[in-house]
Amino acid sequence: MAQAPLKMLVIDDEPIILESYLKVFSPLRAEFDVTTAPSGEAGLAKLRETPFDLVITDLKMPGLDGLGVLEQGRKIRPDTDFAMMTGYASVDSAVGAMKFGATDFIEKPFSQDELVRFVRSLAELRFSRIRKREEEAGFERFSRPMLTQHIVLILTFTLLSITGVPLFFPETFKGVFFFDDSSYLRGLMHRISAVGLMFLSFYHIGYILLTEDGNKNLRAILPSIPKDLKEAGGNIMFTFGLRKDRPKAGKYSFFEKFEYFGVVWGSLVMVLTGLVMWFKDQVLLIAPLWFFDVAKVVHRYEAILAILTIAIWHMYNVHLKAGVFPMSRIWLTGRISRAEMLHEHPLEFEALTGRSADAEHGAGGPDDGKSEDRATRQGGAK
Amino acid sequence: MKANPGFGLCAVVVLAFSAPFTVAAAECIDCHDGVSSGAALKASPHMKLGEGKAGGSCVACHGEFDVSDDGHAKPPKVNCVKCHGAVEAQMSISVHGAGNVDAPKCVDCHGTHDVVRKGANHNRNQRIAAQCGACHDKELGIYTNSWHGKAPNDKVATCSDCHGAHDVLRPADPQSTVFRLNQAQACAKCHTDEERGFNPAMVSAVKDYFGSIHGLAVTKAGLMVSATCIDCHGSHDVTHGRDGGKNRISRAKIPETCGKCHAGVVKVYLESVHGKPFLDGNLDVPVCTDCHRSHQIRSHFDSGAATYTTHVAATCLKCHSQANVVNKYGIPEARVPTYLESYHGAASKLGDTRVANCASCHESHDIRASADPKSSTNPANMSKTCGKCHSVQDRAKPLITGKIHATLAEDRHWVPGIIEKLYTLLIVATMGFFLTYIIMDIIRNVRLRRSGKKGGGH
Repeated sequence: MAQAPLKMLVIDDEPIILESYLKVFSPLRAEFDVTTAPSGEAGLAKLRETPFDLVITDLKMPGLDGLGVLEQGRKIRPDTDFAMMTGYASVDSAVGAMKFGATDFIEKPFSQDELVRFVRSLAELRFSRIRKREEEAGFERFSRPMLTQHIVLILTFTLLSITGVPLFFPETFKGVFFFDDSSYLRGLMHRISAVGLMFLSFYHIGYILLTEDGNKNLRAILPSIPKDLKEAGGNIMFTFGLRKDRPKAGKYSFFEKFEYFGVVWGSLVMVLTGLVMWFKDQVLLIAPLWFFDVAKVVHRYEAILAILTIAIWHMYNVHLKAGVFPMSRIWLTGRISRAEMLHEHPLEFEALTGRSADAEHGAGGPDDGKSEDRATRQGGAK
Repeated sequence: MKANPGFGLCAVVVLAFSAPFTVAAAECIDCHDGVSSGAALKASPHMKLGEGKAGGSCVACHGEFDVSDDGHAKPPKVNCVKCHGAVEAQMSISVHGAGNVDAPKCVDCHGTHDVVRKGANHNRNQRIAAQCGACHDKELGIYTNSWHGKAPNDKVATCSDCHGAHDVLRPADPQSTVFRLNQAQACAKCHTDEERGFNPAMVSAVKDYFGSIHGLAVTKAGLMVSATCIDCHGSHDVTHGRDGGKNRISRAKIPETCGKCHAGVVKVYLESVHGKPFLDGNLDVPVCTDCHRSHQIRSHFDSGAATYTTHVAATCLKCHSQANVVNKYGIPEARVPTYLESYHGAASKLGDTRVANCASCHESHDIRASADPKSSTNPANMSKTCGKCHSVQDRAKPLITGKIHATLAEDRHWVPGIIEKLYTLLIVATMGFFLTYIIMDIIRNVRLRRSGKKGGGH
């Protein structure tokens, strides 16, 4: 993918300087996107509107000077890099500016080449810093509310399974229910967990429709045919050794989307058939006996399907597969490591960072001592 | 006469002791020849009496008196109580006591010169029975034909084992060992003693009786009408369980035996689908003991009972799962398994006591075929039957017309069956795919690792 151009803001009270920037960087507009401002205040105003990657400001200006821009600008945009332009007379102050957090400075007058080299080195430094941070902290994959909903789902699902499965194997579980009324409690806990699941479902529907985070994720997870099918097919072929490279997935791979909608479908089915059985006396007033029997069959077999899918498929794909074995921490922290992001969700990486996944993928090798994720093992192109 | 050790012993005793003994005995024996030559006397424990005393053994009982000439006066009456003092107290309160002119005297039962020790000889049971039977001839006749009476060994029960010996009391007397409330202990004295060589199952059965509802009623509640051993097994006429049709506890007789007290239940039973064939002589049908057992009968509220709610299905299953029974009588198959697969059955197996068991719907004694208008499973009565637990209004047609026992797959409505098949297919296919994919993924990773190790970098 093409790298997104670096967004630069140039602040100088001399129009000649601003024009020369525009002239120098216009042929390089694929790499650098230049905006200019004639004063410190104007520059800050622009900075408030747009999250520039880089701000290059003159030190000596009437009104708000370079140091002022630096000080206030860092407060507005802590993630932006700042560089200073200095005249001969103000080198000392430029050095002082470095102490205030400026990345570098360039002395006027400078040639075109010098300027381009300077800006490129700033871009390099910025990129290294960002990469280091990504390697240490990864990216946010799930927000706190999403993590909470997931944990509640784990709890209700587990309780439902534990209280439901004994009905399949009553001989085996007879000893577990060793006190009076324990069978009654089993039934009661099953119904309470079911109600919990219903509340979670309603909350989740509200979340994905009414919150920004929810909306964003909903759009990401909705299927897009034929793209998802192609990705699925490619994935299967890759796993079976019929294809050399893994197809690229966005935030949610095909199998993840499938799992999500499996949960949606499964919950719906289980809740509805469960309610039919819970209120069978009322249901049988209006429905034939076979309807009730259908509910029983569906409830039973859907439960088997769901439990097996979670125990086998979900556990493998999330926790047990190579790279994250024995457990992925994403369900606890909500953060995904850089390497896993590049490996599993390269399109999402590109969307978030504006950088190419292919370019960075190979570059996260074993010599990269900063990498905290286990995905980067020796050997094996990923 | 047979040589016996007693003879030799007596000879030694006679020789070993002093003249006064010998002389006294010799004096009596001079005339009373018959007595002294009896092996019985010589074997008797009374022979030892009067050792070292003037007068020897004869005078020990008959007392000292002048034997100077042939026609000595009648000796004083022999009084056993002089030595056997404790017995007098027992005898005086017993039914054979002082006031009873027909009662036996000591010698009537124990003999005179042939008194023997308690454990001394064979056929104790018959000897004692014969003694008692001298007056109680009717009972003797019955006893002789009974299992106890016919038994060839000494350890078997005889009159005194149950009724007591010196302290025999009327059965109606609360102190009597055969008073209704004490009666079971009389049998238990022997029948819970493992040393006697009884079948251990029988021993534990008798012990179980005391924990059963009949046993507890008798021993704890003092309920006179509760069944004790003799109500079912007989008393003088006790016969072995397997002895033919006359026996009160043979299969054909059980409803009658239990019906002596539980008349109402037996009447209902005899009109039921089990009882009617029984009246026609069919012994394949269950009788009382098939469901309730015999010595372990407990209230169906007791979790140890064979008829406790969670045990009922197993009890019915005993016959209703056997191919020969099912085939012979055209009983619809798989009734009990379909129950066990249903929610009622699964929950019951888990120990839930609230759910329906076989008897909840089919009744227990009043089981009738569903075509019978009085049957609890007749469609017209279904809403009342199901309504015992569920809030069923008469509008709940599905329960009235639906097939309750049909298995999920077979004679159910076709829709659930199809869905079940589809789901099974789906689960198998899905899991098959998952496992294949996972295995391939693992293989791929292993290969990658291996080639990576060899190749070095990426």
